[in-house]
Amino acid sequence: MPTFVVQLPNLVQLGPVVDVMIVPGRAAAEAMQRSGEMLPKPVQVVALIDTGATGTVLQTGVAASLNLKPVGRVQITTASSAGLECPEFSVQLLFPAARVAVEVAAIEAPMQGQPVQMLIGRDVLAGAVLVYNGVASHYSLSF
Amino acid sequence: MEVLEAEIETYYKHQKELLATDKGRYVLIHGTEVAGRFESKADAIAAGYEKFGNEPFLVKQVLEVETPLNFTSHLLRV
Repeated sequence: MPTFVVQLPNLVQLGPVVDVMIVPGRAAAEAMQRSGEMLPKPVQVVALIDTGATGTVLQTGVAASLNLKPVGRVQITTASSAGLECPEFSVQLLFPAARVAVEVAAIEAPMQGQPVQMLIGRDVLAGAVLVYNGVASHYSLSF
Repeated sequence: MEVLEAEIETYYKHQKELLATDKGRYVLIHGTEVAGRFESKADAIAAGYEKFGNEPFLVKQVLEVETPLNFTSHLLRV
């Protein structure tokens, strides 16, 4: 089971953050190749593993950087709003630390001014084991 | 115009019949066309790219009531 461990001296302040590379989902990449479109460069982001998020979120603009078109539209509820709709995109998340790729349909929403550009939600965690060790100031994620 | 507005309209236009025949499954919609019904979201997305290429399309689960995705932190600026 591929695993990575992240030791963070300020785990309390930062939360469980990780570097992630985002690329088009497999089917999207194949469609781009079929049409002779150049595959976009991966977008590197800092992501927060967020057990309070039902789904995975990309900061607005990431999908456009990957030349992705929406494959869905979903309703979301946040701490300060309800009934909003966000576009959904098919992406692969590459975790270089574990050499793992995870396919997911992620929504896009504004996250400007935040220290992270992505939330890894429970849709990804549904296929993973997350161990948060606050005493030792590290966490691990296994797929 | 909102993202996938035509596809959302198509979905609600056909929602009643889809609920009768495909409740819980995923439909693939492009413009005014209901282009397929699938057991999984991943299969529907793959079929969408196969059929329409890298163009907008809608994959939606056929449900009577939609449950919104929930985000408890304040990180989203909405």
